[in-house]
Amino acid sequence: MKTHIDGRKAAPYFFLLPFLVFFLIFRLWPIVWSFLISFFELEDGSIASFIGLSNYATIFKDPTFIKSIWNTIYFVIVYNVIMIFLAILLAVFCNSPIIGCKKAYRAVFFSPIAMSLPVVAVVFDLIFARNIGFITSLLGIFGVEYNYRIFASMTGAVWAVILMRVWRGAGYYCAYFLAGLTSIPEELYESAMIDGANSFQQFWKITLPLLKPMLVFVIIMSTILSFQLFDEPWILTQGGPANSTLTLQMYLYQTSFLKQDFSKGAAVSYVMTLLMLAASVVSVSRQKDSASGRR
Amino acid sequence: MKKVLTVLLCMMLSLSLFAGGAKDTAATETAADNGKTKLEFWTWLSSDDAIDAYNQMQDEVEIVKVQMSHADINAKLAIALQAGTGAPDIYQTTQRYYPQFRDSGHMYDMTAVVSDVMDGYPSSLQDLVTYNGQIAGLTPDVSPSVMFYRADIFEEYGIEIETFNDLIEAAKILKEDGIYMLPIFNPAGSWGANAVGMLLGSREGNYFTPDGKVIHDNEDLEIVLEFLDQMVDEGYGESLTFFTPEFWGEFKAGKIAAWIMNTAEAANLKTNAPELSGKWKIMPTPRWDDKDTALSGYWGGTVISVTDQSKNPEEAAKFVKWLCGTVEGQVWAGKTWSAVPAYEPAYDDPFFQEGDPYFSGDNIYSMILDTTPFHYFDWASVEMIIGEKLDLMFAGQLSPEEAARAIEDTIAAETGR
Repeated sequence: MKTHIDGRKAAPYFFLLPFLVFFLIFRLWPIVWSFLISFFELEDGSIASFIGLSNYATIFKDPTFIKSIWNTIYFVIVYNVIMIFLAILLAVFCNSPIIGCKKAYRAVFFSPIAMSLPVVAVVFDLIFARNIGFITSLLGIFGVEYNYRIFASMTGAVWAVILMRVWRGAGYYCAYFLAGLTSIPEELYESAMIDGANSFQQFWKITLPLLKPMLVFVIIMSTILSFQLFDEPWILTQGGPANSTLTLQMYLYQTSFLKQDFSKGAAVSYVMTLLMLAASVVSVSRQKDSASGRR
Repeated sequence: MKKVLTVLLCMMLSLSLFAGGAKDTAATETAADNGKTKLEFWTWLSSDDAIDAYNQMQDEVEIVKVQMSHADINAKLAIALQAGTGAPDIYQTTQRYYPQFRDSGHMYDMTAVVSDVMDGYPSSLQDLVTYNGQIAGLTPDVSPSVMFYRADIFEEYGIEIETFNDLIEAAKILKEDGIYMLPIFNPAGSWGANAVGMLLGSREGNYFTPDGKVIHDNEDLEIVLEFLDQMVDEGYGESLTFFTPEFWGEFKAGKIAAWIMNTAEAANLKTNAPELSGKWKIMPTPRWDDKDTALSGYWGGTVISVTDQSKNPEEAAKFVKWLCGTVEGQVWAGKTWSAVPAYEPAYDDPFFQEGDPYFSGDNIYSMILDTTPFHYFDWASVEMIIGEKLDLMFAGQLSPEEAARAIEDTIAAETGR
């Protein structure tokens, strides 16, 4: 039987083939494989025996893992609240008709994300340095002694990490909110002004509701990215003191690459995925509720 | 015709993906421009001059250095060995992390090539590189402790140190003028376990017995922790994250008077604080007051091995032997990354008897005392556990005694040792 291939119909698939091959081998297969190995014991890189949910049970019994979950959730919530508040504030500032040199401000706000992370870490290290840092010098002018070592404090270190991340992220997400602001019709503000609404009322009743789609997008993206927090605490504190800045991603790295337990590491990564998924679902469903007028 | 061309183009694009993925690894026998066989060498050290010297002295192979951090080497090597592909011909790692690779069964047996130089190493290092009776690597260097100190500060305050109690007494005086006697790793991170291990070694102590059992009720550990806790608690030591700009900044600002550390950090000091040249001197590690003799603690040192994925393992092993097991190679290691020779005959070479102008003419090698063999097991877990307990102690949540017991119990529980 002769099979006839319609060249016109087949051509798009041929063009897609390089991507599909790449995607299947380098994206999909690692996802499937890592899920599989989370239920198996590995020996010399190969599957040795089925251990069911044993890896999952083991990590949930590990207090360090539980601590890393709480640290991550704490960070995600605190960071996102502060960062989004600041990003909106910066966007409104940049979008205000009474502000000049808007492009310059935008460039300045956006620049932290373009800076190399190790350089930023060096800068923050020297800002907080107890004896030779910027804060010490600044307070010294007023005769105030600064004797706090933030990176050695179990409560302070996490705030140093949050501050650094906010400093990097606020300007970046400000660009998203600026895009959202420019799509709000000017007439709405004019009508509100005629009705006697002040600036705060305009922001609360017009700007914020109409920014909601962008807000949800930023929350989801920022939440997913902040669940993967690794670089900042790794450079600044290595997860210390006493695991107070240890995040899930760092725990995953320690398990997989330092302790070389890849199957347990795979289990950690799927717990992370579930947490990110849950956070995203909650954000999206709240947006839907809000859009349909439910409270 | 057009269709055929389209299909061919797509197929070529698809195949090019695989072609791109077929990266040259150790398994390649790529010839260098000069016709030599290339051998890939993973290291984090600036050993270029030593490698160049070896490349010029023979016509068989060209060692190609791939530089990355030792954390990256450990992570990438672990994956490559498990995957059966992607490992280099030769790699360098820290002695404390080496056992996990040595015991993987993926090291080339170097016995036939290097057995004649093994007598040149201390027995502890011979044991370290031997697995199932086969020699799996060689040690190019060791990292015993010495005490670097600011000669100008010591002279100004009339400080003379022989024991650890002398350190504390002198620290009380320096504190009044805002000078710290020592930098203390706080948060401890991975450095904490190594620094405590080094001080333990200077007391003939260990975390583990030679056969890998956790030492319980470890009095040496308790004494070391008491010393560190006092340094932080009384403000005699400065809590710092090691090797950060703040860390070097405090050195340069004259805030730190001394540093008990491994010899390899001499090179780090010179690189990061060149303006302090001539102000430093070196002395042996102080003696603990309850001990009769002073010892150098042991920080670690490194190991170089050949993987079983190498297509030219014998040639690779010859390079390792030259660098680690000949006087010439050890002198190059000393010149390029300030290595303290692991191969004992090297100490007779004049290079290792010269003084260093940075340290006011002191010769660092002459400040090294006897060391006790230090035993490394499950080091990744051990580092994390000790780091956490030290942080809790520095935060006042554990006493030194409680921290010592918590360290022993947690290591035993987590590693089953």
